Amino acid sequence: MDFSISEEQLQLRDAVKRFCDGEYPQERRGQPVSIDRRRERWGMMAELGLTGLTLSEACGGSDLGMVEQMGVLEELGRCLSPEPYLSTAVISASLIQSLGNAEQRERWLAPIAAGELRMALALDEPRGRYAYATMACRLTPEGDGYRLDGEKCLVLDGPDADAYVVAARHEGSLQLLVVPADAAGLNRTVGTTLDAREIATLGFAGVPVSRAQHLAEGEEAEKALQAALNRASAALCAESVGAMVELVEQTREFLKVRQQFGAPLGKFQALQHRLVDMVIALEQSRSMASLAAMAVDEADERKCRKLVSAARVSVARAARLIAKEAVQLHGAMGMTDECQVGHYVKRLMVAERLFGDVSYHLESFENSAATAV
Amino acid sequence: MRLEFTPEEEAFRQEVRAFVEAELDPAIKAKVERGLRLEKADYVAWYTRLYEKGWITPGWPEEQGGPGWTPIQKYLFDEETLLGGAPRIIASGINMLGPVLIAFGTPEQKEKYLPAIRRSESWWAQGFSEPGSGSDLASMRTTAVRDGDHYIVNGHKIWTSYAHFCDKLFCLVKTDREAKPQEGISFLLMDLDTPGIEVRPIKLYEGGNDLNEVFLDNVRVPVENLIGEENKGWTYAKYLLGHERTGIAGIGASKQQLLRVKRLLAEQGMEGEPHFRRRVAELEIELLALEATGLRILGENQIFSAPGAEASMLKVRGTELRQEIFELLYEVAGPAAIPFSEEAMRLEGEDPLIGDDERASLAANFLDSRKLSIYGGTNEVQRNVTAQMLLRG
Repeated sequence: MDFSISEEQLQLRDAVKRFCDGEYPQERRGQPVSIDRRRERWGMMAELGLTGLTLSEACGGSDLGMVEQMGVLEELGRCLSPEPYLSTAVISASLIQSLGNAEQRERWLAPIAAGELRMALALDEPRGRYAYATMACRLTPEGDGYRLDGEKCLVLDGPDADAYVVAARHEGSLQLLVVPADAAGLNRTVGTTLDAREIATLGFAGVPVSRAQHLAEGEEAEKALQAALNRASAALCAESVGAMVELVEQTREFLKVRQQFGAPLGKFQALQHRLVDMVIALEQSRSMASLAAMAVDEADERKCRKLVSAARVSVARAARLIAKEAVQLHGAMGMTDECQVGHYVKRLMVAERLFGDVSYHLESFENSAATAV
Repeated sequence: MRLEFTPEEEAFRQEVRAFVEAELDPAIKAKVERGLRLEKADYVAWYTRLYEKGWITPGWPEEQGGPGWTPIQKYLFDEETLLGGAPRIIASGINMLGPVLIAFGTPEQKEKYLPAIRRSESWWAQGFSEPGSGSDLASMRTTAVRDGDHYIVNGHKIWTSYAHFCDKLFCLVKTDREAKPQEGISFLLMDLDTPGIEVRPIKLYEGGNDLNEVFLDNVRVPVENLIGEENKGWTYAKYLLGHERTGIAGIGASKQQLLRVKRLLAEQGMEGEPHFRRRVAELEIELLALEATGLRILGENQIFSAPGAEASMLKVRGTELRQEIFELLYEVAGPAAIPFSEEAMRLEGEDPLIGDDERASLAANFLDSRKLSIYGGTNEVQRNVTAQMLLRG
């Protein structure tokens, strides 16, 4: 096993860091941004090659792996980026890349790489708690194509997406398809997440779906969805590491400058030790995020799922510790909306609940017969 | 980044595994796996196999008899030997004094001591802590006063591990009582049979006596037994404490004990019990995170929030995790942890209450495991050191 980061990977990270420092200045992180501004930023990310990072060169991508993408996600997490990078460039891109035929790839992947298309995954349903095996959305054959009925919720980045990858069932068989946001019969309700990002509930009432929109079904679809969820989880680990880096850094800085009892807080051993435990949790998360990224790029299905679930559990627990301690060490200031700590804490809390929580991933780790390492 | 080890590394792992299977005495392996007490002869028997193979001093440079391994090879060696049930390397000559002699010793000192350490002919005890100086080591009061071509040493060392196995002592002494605490210390070597030295075992709460007190009463030590320069001993001691980086996290030992948890649960038909199943999964994940961090430290271009404190962090997390595993083992024992006999800890005689029930050793193992966060610089001291690096400037 080798955790070495190559020179090329370092350069990519540096480029993304420069972009993020310019686009997400410290004082504006966590504040609302207009949709026009966000679309402009999305175009800049495409120019940097970030939206098509893992796509094939034929689609205008760079053909790189999760290990490279991890560096991008860390930086976006560090700056609380609200861009739909996870939804579009990680999840939707990988599903269409692995399942789509030549025509479908051309239709959706090239625009993703060019920064012209924003997509989101419509997977969760109101009554499901990560119960992806029993979803109620139905895709029914009708005429030359199909009709889609049901409801999807918690669609991250949904309000501003141009199209959705939707998971539905037909007689127990998983169906994956692409539905444009302006499809007839699609009703979109907009909401916000705990960390002030946008989220949608989608109602499908007899939405017509053509064969050209249908990506895959049955076992092929199940495997691809699991692979995409592994990728999403590895991505959430990386994004969370970025947010934790910033929380630890802000807390460290606060302990150095905040004076009480005639001394900086950092002089008090009880607080020093808590900071050290935050750093240990952060370092272990960095390691696990890297392990998850390597697993996505290299491991077989079972081992990948096991390692990714281990990483989700480990990162979620580290994130909880760091979040709570960052608030505590900042004192009451840490609970204000003005202080950035809370925005990072909320980002971590949302990341922890997307595509499986700790209990879900512990179960997934336990049930995997694969040996971890 | 690469998830798998290279074919060469995997081949090396297999070589170590095969060696342990072929060369480790099954009786010693059984004692290690069951957490029973080992005799000096058990350690020497295993170390001698390692010596003959050229593997006894992985941390030493090749010209002094080290095997010339990469950090990954050292890591794999630690893991495979411990997973295979081999005794740990507890000899301070190998882990601590050897590297100091190699870095700071005279050619005569190296010639005189290093080969005997490698052959397990001489065993070194470490005389650092004193009754009044535990974590605050620099406050020590044992003195060495120059008298012609000798030092006269007087004082009292404590918590000296395995001194009853040892024939030699390396010792920190005050040679300048006027200097600042860390500047008047020297590093001396002595034979434990020198007149004026008395070793007394300390009985520990779990029945063991691995630790000792060493009394030094007008002990005459030849000046050629000084390491490096007079009053520079603190530098050498810091080098010694910072040297042993690989293995500091005890990953192989933790893996071995987690396997033991699973085996003991299976033997009791409890492997599916939800509470234990979940605890095992949680600790496996914790161990994976520690292992990944240990390996990440060996990689190129890594980012760390507290550069320079990696070893401290591994020590803290590694020992605390191992303690959690020992605590779980004690839970796995259930009521079988109630009866205890020293004979059963040594596989001597047969206690009718215990028979050959391995679970009887688990309470003692748990009690013993509390030392992990105390020795080698307490975990509080490790956190202090890390905090200083984080908060300076």
